[in-house]
This record gives sequence, C-alpha cells and structure tokens, in this order.
Amino acid sequence: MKAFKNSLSGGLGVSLCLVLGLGFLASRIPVLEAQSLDEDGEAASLSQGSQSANTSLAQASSTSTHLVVEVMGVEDRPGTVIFLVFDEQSAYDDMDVERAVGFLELEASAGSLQASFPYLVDGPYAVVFFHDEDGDQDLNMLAGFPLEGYGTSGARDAYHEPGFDEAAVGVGLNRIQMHYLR
Amino acid sequence: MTWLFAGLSEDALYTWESELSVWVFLLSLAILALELLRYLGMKRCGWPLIGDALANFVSLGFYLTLGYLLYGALYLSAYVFFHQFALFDISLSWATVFICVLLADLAYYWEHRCLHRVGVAWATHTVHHSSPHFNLSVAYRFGPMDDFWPFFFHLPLVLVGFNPFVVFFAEVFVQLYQTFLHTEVIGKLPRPVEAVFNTPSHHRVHHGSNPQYRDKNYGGILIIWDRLFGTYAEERETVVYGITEPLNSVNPLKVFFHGLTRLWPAMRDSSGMKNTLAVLLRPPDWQPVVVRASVAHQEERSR
Ligand SMILES: [Zn+2]
Repeated sequence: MKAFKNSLSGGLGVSLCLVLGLGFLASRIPVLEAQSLDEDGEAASLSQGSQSANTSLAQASSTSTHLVVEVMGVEDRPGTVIFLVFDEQSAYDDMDVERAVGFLELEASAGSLQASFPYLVDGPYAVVFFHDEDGDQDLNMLAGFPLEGYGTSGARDAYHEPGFDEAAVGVGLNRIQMHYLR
Repeated sequence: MTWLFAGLSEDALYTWESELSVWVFLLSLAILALELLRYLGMKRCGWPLIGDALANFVSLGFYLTLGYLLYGALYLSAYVFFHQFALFDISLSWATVFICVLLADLAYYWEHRCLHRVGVAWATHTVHHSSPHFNLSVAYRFGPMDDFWPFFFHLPLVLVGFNPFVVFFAEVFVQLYQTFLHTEVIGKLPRPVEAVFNTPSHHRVHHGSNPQYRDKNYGGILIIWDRLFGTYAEERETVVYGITEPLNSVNPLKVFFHGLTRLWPAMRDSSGMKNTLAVLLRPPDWQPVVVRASVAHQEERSR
C-alpha cells in the first residue's frame, strides 16, 4: 500500500484496475426482468410473472394471424400514441410515412396499450411508435434525443436503433417497450 | 432484496435525480437559514457574509445557464456516442447504479485532484474555493468550466459499459452528497464515519488555505481514496478558508471569472511556448524558474 501512496502512476494504475474490475463485476450482475409493469400488485413473484407473461404471449401469437403490437410502459401523460408499420427496408430507413403499410393513432393510457392491424397478415414488419404528447404528429427531438416517448421493434434498449432486419417481427402479438428520456 | 436487481428504466432514474436535486436544494436553503441565525448570534452575520452568499447563488445562476446552453446536451450525446464502443454490457438496476456511484466517486477524486493541480482547470475550480466563508451557500459557488472537466474523468465509466444516464446520475449524486459538507455547524462525526466517509470536518480541511491543509482531502463521498493515495489531512488547527491570494470581492462577475482573468496575464507574460503551456498544465503555484528565484529573493529581503 505504501508503494503507490505517493506515486501518481501507482494510484492511477490501482484506480484503472478498480474501474475495470468493478465494471466487469457489474456486467455479471443479472437483471430481473420487470414483466409486470401494470401496477396492480402482480410483481409479487417475479419468476411466476414472467412465466405467465410468456404463456399469454404464446397463446396470443398462436391465435392471431395478423400483426398485434402491445406497447409496454406507457406513462401517464396526455396525447396519443402513433404507430407506423413498414414492410420494406428503404421506407423504414427514410421513416417515410407515405410508404408505411400501417398507421394508427390511439389515445394514450398509462400502462400498456394494444394496437391491432387486421389487414397486416404477412410479415416481416418493422414497427415504430411514439407518444405524441403535444399533438403535432411528430416526434419532438432535442440534440438528437427524443423528447417524447418512443419505441422500435427489435430495439435492445433506448439507444439501440435496429436496422430493418433486426426490427422485423412477424404476425401475432409483439410486446415492445416504450422509452422516455424525459 | 429483489428491488436491487430488478430492471430499472432511464426515465425512473431521471425522475429520482431531479427530485433529489430539488430536495437537496430546499434542505440546504433551510440549513443555510439556521447557519445565518447562528452567525447572527455570534455577531458574524455582516455584509461580507451575506454578500458572499448572494454572490454564490448568482454564480450558480451563471453556471446553470452555461450548463444549459453549452454543456448539457453535448455531454449526454457524446456519452451516448461513446457508449457504442463499451467494453462490457452492463444492465440497468439499482445494483449496477450503486457500483457506478462508487466508481464515479473514484473518478471524482482524480478529477478534483486535477482541478487543483492543473493550472487551466484550477482557473475554474478556484471560484468554488475563493469564498473566505464556509456555509451551505458555498456548495453552490461554481466556476465557468466546472461542467467541462468532469466529462473526461467519467468517460471511462461509459467506455467500460455503464449506461450513459447512470453515469450522469452517479456524477450528480456524488456532487449532491458534498452539498451538506459545506458547514461549520457539524464538528466531527463518530470515528468509523470519519474513517470512511468524507465529512464536514474533512471538507473544511479541503477548503483551508493553511499550508498543511492545502491540496488535501479531494474525495467526494469517500475519504478512503485520499487515505489510499496519500492526500489525506486531519482537521487539527483552526481552518482559514479561501485561497492563498484572496479575492476580497463579493461582485458575482469578479467571483465567477477571476480564475480566467488571473490565468490570462500569467499566460501573456510567460516567455515562450513551453512556459505558456506550463502555466496551463502545471500546478497553479508553479512559476518559471527565473521568477521563482526573484520571488524567493524578495521574500528573503522582506523577512
Ligand atoms: Zn476543491
């Protein structure tokens, strides 16, 4: 310990090791998926919760033959949730509303929200949606960050912008998380 | 304990952070009021103290304006950009937030040490240290580039794999903790606390201009970093607050910019590129050899 007490490089070396070591440790910490976002006390048993969620997912996807999107984690804010569905790469890349095969605007309500597209029966589809709080039909941005809630099929987290292939989902029920940065 | 490992969202964390900042601010205003009453009783509550406290809050206004206009958005977008090169994939839960706060505290130690020992960084941090008083309002005394330097020291945490928002939260948390250290009201806390955590006593030492207290106790939340890296000093002699070359002003503009206005002549008068760079990068008390010799000479004569 005395060795690096008065040496700058020693101290920095120790610090770097700590950052790498604890960073690695943090990456090994498993995260329990918060499946029951609806606040009616279902969070009691996490593993059970995820099981039942999986079964209902399986049931829904086997029963519906068209695209159904369930948005998870809609916050209690005003406005609507606007959905866009694309079936081809270039329209998705350009976010070209004209070439979207599905468009739906639903009244926002806290919790989860289901959007059904009965006429979209074969995929794959890329789904994007956002929480249009101010009713301007557009996702407000600041310095590259969305100021309103948003989500994309196939996105791993709030920062992941999947390409069309990653975003592609099939018919049946698809649960997608809404992200709010603000 | 499951809450510790349950998935956490960025927006939940953001809400925590903003609520926490507001409560800390309100609480510190309340404590400041009590401190002022105490000083009033000690007949130390004159214009120097009040003017200084007001200047502190004006500097906070300048700092927040700059932060909002300049650094805020840039900071996070740069973090998000660098996050794609991350070494590990770290998920978001209170457990990982806790580890990140610990490492942010370590990063803060080095940042703070650099703020004191690198001329151009001291030009902003000197603002925080220039008050000859020590009360809760000093915690809100900020310099023009106080938002700039933390970026580089916390970037490694983003590169290791912590979520940019978590790193940002951790930085703010380390800062918020220190708010309550700026007080003379609390003497020393129980020994185990003083051994591990940064306390008002340790932080008074950090704000001291007494020779034995200078450039000591850089820690944010934990004091163990100072004990570990050889920059620890215990509070014994009464602390004389402030900087070695006192400011003698409560003019908020002078307070906010004095680091830069003092750095500029030193750069202008330095001869040659090498000395100019040295003014920027060397410790603030550094002077070229020639000048140092003549200062020593003067000191000898004045004795
Ligand atoms: Zn300092």
